Amino acid sequence: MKAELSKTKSAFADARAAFAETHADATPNWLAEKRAAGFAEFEKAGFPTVREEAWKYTNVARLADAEFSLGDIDGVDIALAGKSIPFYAESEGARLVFLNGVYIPELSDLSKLDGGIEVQRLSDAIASNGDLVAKHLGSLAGSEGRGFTALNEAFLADGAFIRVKRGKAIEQPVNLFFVTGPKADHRATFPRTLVVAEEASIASVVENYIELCDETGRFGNRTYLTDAVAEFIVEPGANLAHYKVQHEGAKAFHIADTRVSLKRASVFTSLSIALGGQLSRHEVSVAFGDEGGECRLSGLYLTSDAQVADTHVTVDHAVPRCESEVTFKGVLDGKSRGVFDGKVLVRQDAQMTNSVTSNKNLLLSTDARVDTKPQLEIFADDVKCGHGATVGQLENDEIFYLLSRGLTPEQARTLLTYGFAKEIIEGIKVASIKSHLDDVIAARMAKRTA
Amino acid sequence: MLEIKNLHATINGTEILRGIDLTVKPGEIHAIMGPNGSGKSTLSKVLSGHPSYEVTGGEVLYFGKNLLEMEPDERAREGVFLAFQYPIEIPGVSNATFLRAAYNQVRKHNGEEELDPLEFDDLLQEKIQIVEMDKAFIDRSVNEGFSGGEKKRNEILQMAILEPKLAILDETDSGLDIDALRIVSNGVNKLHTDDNAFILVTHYQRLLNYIQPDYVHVLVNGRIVKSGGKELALELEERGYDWIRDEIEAGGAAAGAGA
Repeated sequence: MKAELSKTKSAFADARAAFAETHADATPNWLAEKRAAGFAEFEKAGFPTVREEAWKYTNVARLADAEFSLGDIDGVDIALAGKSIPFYAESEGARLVFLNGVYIPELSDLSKLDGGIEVQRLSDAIASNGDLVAKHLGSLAGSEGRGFTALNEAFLADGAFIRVKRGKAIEQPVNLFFVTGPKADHRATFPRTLVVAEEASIASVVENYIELCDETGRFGNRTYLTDAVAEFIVEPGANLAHYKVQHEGAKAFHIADTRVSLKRASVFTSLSIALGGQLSRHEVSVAFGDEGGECRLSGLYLTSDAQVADTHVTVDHAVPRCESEVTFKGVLDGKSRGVFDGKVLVRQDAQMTNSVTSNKNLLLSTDARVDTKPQLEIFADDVKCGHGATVGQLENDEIFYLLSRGLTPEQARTLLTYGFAKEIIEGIKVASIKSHLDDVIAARMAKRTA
Repeated sequence: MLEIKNLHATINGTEILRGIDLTVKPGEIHAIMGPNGSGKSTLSKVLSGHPSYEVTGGEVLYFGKNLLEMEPDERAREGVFLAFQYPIEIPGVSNATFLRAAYNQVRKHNGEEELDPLEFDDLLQEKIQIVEMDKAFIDRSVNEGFSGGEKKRNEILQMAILEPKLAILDETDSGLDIDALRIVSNGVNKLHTDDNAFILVTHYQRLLNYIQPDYVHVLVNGRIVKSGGKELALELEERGYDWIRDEIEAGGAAAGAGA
């Protein structure tokens, strides 16, 4: 085990050397230092093990054992890839597209932007918006003791930068596509997103992590790693809506670290859908920096076969009069496993906090399993907080009721599963995401009974 | 359309039905009455194919086909309908979605074209009047938060939409107030034709003031021990079930003595 771990580190060391060489020139000093620090931190921290409480139920040994080199697009038919990106065509608003970690200008579209918002690939922003980026990048996502975040930092080269200008309301969502496509077996990408919603601005951002089918139309036969970090700075009075759609391939590893900072009377709403990956982990950390903030985090994980989907949420109430609502649901089939860990910390000064956490799970097979742990740590005395978790199965009486009206067993299961997930699905305001999810649920149920 | 012959059924190894014989023809309304625990609800559930019950003997022919070999959903598509004694709540699934899915399955089965949501809505608006239900119920989750009476009316609405050939109403009248009882009964009377048949399972005679049965059967200890016309129901109302029990026991004792 120990030997394999160091072997993996040396694999990334090769990638690191290659990376340093290609990025030697145009890099500002602060970025070069950040990368070096990130790599040093990764070497020190390594991959997490199940001995760590935060990774107790999620074993990354298979990821650590695999070897990855950096993604590229050599020999990839870009136009063809563009055509097969799911719900890309339906997405409205600006979009940035990355394929195997490489920015693809011909698939991206920034023409619909007006003056209220800046959307740039991160490497451009580093050049043209250097001070602002330098100020915020990594300001939330510290990498100390966090191997994956450190690794992202070590390979930090590109991604998305979004700045919603003061007082502007942007109607169409900004769509970020981090796509893994052809020629991506045993490749790793390190998407990075930085969003600054300035005072009293309103906007929404969609992060899509998707695998494309291969030449034969098959999904999920590539082993690859997506190690993503996203930071959201929500300034006073701003309202930012965030969606994350994770539909990686069946053999993919997806690790995402989402950090949010909320200033006075700002609002952050996030809806996260996890569909793919042999192992996926999404950490969301929200910190209230001033009074009157509101955050609503919700999500749905839908797993089958031997998938593992892990959701870790941390909400830090350090100041008074903030509200948080955490609602995650899981539908688990096959031998898949879900992990939910939701921690709400209410510090001594955080009086008048309102917080509620709920995690409900539906197990569709007897081999599926979920480990759920909503936690509340309260040090203030005038607060309203609650948390709860449930794990259940489809009720036989409900199935029979539907059958007795002529629905097929497949229809009955689909309808009941959909009914279970509806609370989350209803929160999706982007039509293309909603219809994609409908299709996925229907296809999974059809496959199940086939 | 329905021939039940010497039907035996158990739940968790306990025998509940001990030899039921019953024949139902198109256009007929049969009432099955009996004391609590006599097997009335079990008979309803066995006919609709509830998986908790095991048929241990006898046969059931439905239009000449072996009903017991059909899956529950197949029976429904073939025109068997059970109005549940305790309708199930389905959170997150709207009444409209559910009803359309069910209706289209039946249409498909009959080789008819499926209706899209708009076409189906027209049908729904028409049928909902039969049960005098508020239109808001259509968009609410199936039975969720419905009162007892609303749930029973929703059962009749489903029946109105699916237009079954054989409808079994399992204690649909219990717990209803007088308005709901009238609405439910009216619904049944409006839906009754010469081609369909109803089996009303009930504990009380009062439902039969609103729906005129052709036959009344008394079920005791898993057997039909007495059959007659609607006057039998009145007699039961007046005298209770004990005299029938006494009759059976006397008969059983006589048979025992004769053996």
